[in-house]
Amino acid sequence: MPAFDEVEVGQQIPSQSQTIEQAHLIQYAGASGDFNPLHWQEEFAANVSPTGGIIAHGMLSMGLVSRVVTDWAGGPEHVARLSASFRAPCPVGATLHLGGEVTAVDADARTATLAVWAELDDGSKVVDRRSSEAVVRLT
Amino acid sequence: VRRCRSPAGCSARCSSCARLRCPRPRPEEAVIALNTDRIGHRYPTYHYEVSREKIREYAAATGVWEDRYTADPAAVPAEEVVAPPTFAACFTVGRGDIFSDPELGAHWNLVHGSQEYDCSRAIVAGDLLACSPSIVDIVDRGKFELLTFQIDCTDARTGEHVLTSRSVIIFFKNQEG
Repeated sequence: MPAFDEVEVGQQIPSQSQTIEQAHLIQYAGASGDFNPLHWQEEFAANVSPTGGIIAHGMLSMGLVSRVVTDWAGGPEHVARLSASFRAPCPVGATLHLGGEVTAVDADARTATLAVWAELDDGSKVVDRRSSEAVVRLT
Repeated sequence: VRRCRSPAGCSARCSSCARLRCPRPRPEEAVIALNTDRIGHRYPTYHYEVSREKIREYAAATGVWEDRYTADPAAVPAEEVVAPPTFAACFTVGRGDIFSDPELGAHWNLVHGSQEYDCSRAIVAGDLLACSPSIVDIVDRGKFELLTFQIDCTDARTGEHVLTSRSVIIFFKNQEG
């Protein structure tokens, strides 16, 4: 994990990209227990989805953002807060670009606050960096 | 015009908006609407037991690979198997008692708007969590409604706070669900 003294506002953490396949949604549904047919049934999605097709669970996008944060922080035990605002839908087959940037450091609490995001190739904000953040405890 | 959203309809004085004659929805635009009387309602506390296997499954589904998740259980103590920060989704998002509450009127024509987790400590395998859900707010935005609910999770053995989950769910109106 990064040392507190080495973390600066404006610093970006290592980004990751992942293409979301139907199999990921099925696996996530099973693991999380979220079986909303919006994430696996085309006829249902055609009626109610904002895209007219199957879209990923918001929480899957948040889970992938979480991975980028915990990979940088050195494990899940260092995360004090994680929030995600789901702005744009993530259709099956799309690639998510995941990242984070340090926006504040607190010397007393020894924490860093990061804006975090998951965006599509066209810049659509699946997890919107303007209202999604992580707070990481550093040593 | 702010439409009364009492599912029971209005008689002499509406219990939702307190108007004497409140504008009911016309039949052709009959809306699926949440009951704002449920704001502040607390649901019974339920318990969730965190298993090593569920953490492993959840971590794999979000592409998190750590040796402690896949190690032989005899080699790694349960308390060293620390769940990913969003693992709480397994027992906080889409909780049955909120979504099946007939007084609230939730339905499946929805998407997840936002999610927050504030963690006093990480969840580990073997935890027994006492989870207390409540409805924080219901806001009408015209074509949709925003339901905010919160679940406070404490360690059932020690009483210490573990995490608070806050979810905003967007319910669309006037569509088949």
